[in-house]
Amino acid sequence: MKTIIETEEMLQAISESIDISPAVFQQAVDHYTKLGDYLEQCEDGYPSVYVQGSFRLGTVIRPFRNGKDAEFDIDIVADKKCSKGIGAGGLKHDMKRCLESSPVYSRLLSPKEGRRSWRLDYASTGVGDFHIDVLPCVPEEKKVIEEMLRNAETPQLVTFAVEIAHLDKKTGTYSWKHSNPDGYGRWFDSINEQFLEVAIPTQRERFVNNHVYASVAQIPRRAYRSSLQRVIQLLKRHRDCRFAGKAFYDDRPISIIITTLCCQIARDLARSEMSVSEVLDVVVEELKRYRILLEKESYGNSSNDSSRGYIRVKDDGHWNIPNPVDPRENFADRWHENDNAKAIAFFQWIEWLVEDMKLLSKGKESGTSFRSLGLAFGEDVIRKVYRNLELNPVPMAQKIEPISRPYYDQER
Amino acid sequence: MTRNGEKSREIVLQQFGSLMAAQPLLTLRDEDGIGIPTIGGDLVLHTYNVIEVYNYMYPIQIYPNKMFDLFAPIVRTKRDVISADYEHIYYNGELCLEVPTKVAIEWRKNPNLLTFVNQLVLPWFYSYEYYMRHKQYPFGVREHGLDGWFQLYYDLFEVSSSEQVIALLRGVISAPYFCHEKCPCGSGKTYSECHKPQIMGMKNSSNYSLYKQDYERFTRRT
Repeated sequence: MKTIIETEEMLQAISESIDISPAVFQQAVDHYTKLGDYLEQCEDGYPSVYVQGSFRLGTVIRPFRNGKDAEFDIDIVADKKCSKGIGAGGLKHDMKRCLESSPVYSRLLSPKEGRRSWRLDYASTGVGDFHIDVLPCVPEEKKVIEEMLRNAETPQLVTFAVEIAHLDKKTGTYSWKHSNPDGYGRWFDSINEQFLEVAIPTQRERFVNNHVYASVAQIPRRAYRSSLQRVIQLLKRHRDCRFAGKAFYDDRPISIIITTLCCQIARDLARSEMSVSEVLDVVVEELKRYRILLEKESYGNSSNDSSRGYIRVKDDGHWNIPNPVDPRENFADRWHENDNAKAIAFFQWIEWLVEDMKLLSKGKESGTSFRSLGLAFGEDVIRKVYRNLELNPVPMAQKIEPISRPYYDQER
Repeated sequence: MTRNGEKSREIVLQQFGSLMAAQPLLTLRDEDGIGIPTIGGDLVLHTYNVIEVYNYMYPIQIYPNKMFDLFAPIVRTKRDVISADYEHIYYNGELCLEVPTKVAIEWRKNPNLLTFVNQLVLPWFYSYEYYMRHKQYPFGVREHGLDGWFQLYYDLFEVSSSEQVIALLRGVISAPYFCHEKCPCGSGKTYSECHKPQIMGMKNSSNYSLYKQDYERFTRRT
């Protein structure tokens, strides 16, 4: 039995075990492709259907709810390619009618309306280990896009902007929310590309050996994971586990912030041949620097600092992490609320991260790292990883029957 | 090796299997193949029936007694893994699990290493983690020194003063009372209506010598 392991091997194993398995991935792809085909041919249907979010980016992780692993969550966007004249509520219910008219999807459709989506529950009906949320949307208006083109960082991606129908659950009213999931995905891919090129040759063999795909040619590009994607998965998982059960759980950093920051830092500071642990180090080192923003009034404009301003504080105390493909959107728009509660939670998380990474690199003995890893990435995952790496087995939970009351004998 | 020792050695070897099934990071230290083996390694605190769940490991050493059935093992940890201001540990790293009499009473009921770990050692580490976070003990705490011993007897006799404990213990070690006499606890009731079951139980138990020692301890110092 091994007792010494390398940090890199450990991180790889953890990220693999929180990732979707290639078989479930393929199953999910088949299902949403079928769903896409159906939505397209549905009565004046949705000509453009694509997957968005972590599934699109390849940073999907198993959600961790109430201290337990839950089913995967896949978001697909269905673009109706019509004008906003249809109305946000109208579009949402048009989508519902479309799903209800199919014998297959009416059975899967969850009766509760989501904020932006309709949920098809594949997990509870035993089809797969996931659910699919369908978000209806329409393209952004021409004149808005023209306006955005003028001050966009990435003009070629702005054209993919859409308006998503949004339900305010408190008031029961519908409105439009601008978004650009496709553009974001393309932006991510453009950065991830170089990292992926390095990763593909090493992963190709394994897919075929595991009999997931019959031949190399059949492996979709999205099944591969670069070191950047691995790092984002690890960070998201670490956040889920570290914030679980905490009072400020609701202030935890959202995935898109983690993804955006990692991506920008990797683009500027990492080299494509870096391993997972190296990229992780680069990201954590960089994020650590922004802590001073909490203390300083203004920071973004001081050019002497070595940081690159991925997070900024404006003069009015508002935080700014812009969406790289939509200049109107600020991911950190609520960070200043409640005395910077969300910003404080973010930097608390960075602190935990630094702490856990230190323990991980120090404690290569399997016994010591189990302690920190279980806390950081969830004990079920770590137990699985230990088993796969043939490390010392990890014990089952014990029931304790306390009859002990600590005591101290002053005579000794 | 004495006959007692050989028997104890066998029991330790026998019981180690079930202990290791629950705590796989513990190993048996039995290099020379004679004497009482000790048990060392990492104890995993990983529990499910408690208020907060902690997942930690602690390096520990368990030293079973030569008279295995009579005296509970001694447990030590590395002194530096426990915070320096935590009181319930001696300088040599030995854990103060409970008042020794209580440990012995529980051990003699069921001299089993796994039960011992689950009832006394894991709760000790759990109490430690809980105390470090909340400055409270999840399952209570004994007073320091002699007060702790008295507290144990308050529980056993269901009384509330040290004088009563001493009087009742004297009842345990002295000649039997007559049923119509007044109970030594001073309640005013007759003996048979009051502490007779406890006193008779202690008189006839295998722990009699422990109670006698404690009586001497109390009378010597107060």
